[in-house]
Amino acid sequence: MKKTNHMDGVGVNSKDIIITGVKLMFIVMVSVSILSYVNSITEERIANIEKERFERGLREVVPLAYDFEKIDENVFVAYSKGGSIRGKIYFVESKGYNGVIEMLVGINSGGRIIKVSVVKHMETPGLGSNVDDEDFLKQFEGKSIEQIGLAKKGSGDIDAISGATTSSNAVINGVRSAIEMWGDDR
Amino acid sequence: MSSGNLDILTRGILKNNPTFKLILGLCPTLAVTTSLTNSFTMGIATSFVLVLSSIIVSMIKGFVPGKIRIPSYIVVISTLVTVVDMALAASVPDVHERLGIYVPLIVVNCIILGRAEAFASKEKVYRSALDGIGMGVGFILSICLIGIIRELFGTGSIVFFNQIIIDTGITNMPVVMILGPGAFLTLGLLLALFNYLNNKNGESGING
Repeated sequence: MKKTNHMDGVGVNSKDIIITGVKLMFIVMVSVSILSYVNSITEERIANIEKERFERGLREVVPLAYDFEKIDENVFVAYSKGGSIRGKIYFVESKGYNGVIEMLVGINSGGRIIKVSVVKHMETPGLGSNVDDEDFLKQFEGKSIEQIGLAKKGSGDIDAISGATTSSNAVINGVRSAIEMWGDDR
Repeated sequence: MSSGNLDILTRGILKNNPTFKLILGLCPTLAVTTSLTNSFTMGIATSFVLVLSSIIVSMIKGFVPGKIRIPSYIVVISTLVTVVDMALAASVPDVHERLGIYVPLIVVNCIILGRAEAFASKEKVYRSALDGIGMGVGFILSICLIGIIRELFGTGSIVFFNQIIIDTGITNMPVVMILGPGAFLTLGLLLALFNYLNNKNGESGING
């Protein structure tokens, strides 16, 4: 016969197991109630903040736009106050060093970049996280597809962020795919 | 082993410093200390969860059976972290965006589980709160120190929440300091320094 030893948990009886299980379930239920309560009071605000941020982002890549129209999943047309088309905005994703980089690319009627903004990324803090840096993104402005590539590889005019070639390349690939989509749409 | 309240509060800072003496929570210590700002925000968020989890774990210690204490503490800690995450996202979206993935990462910081297991699960609520505060302050000071060293030597300047604090004007600093190896180098050298000072004072070294 094996001796019951409560110290290291062997030979416990079934009543113990049930009490333990019920207690654990209780703790988890309290946790779930707290989380669903907090979620119910924050959900709407978080959704609003994200929507606001997204529209602010659209305005960022086509400055002076007055109104936006969604014409396709991830494609928006930006109108001026007089109703003429100022440009098209593409929401694209590109694989970065750490997960996906989401960005908005504003393209004018000539197929050149108006502006690029990085909406969301999970790149390494201090290095790849500089993909949303103004100085890096400014380089894309006014460029056509042939100019968008890494300068040090001779494939374009874009200087990579130091220490973050992969992240820089991810942005370049995303911008190129946006221009390609623009070409297909015409 | 009973100690005075003041000792509980202050020992987290030097005597039992979580980073340099207990060698706990090294994942965020290595990963997010690329700048003083990142270190500081991570330190504040972690300490907040640490204090609350110490209090709650101490409150429920009579209720939780020994066999399921670890899963129970994990549930408590992850609930707190998720609440903090949602509250930050709804109230201060800019700060939340800057913290990014650091907030969810607090769940896996072993300082929090370590203090729950080693202290809060055996002690009174107010003593656990004091321990949490002391450890939190110790953690903030440690990662800020690493952050300052890495940012200064990696970029040549210290920028704290967009305020320039130190600017050496040197631009060709070794970028390796804000990369992974810089984290290990800085931590290793600081550990050596701390142990040297401890040995000189006749105290024990690492006890983690």
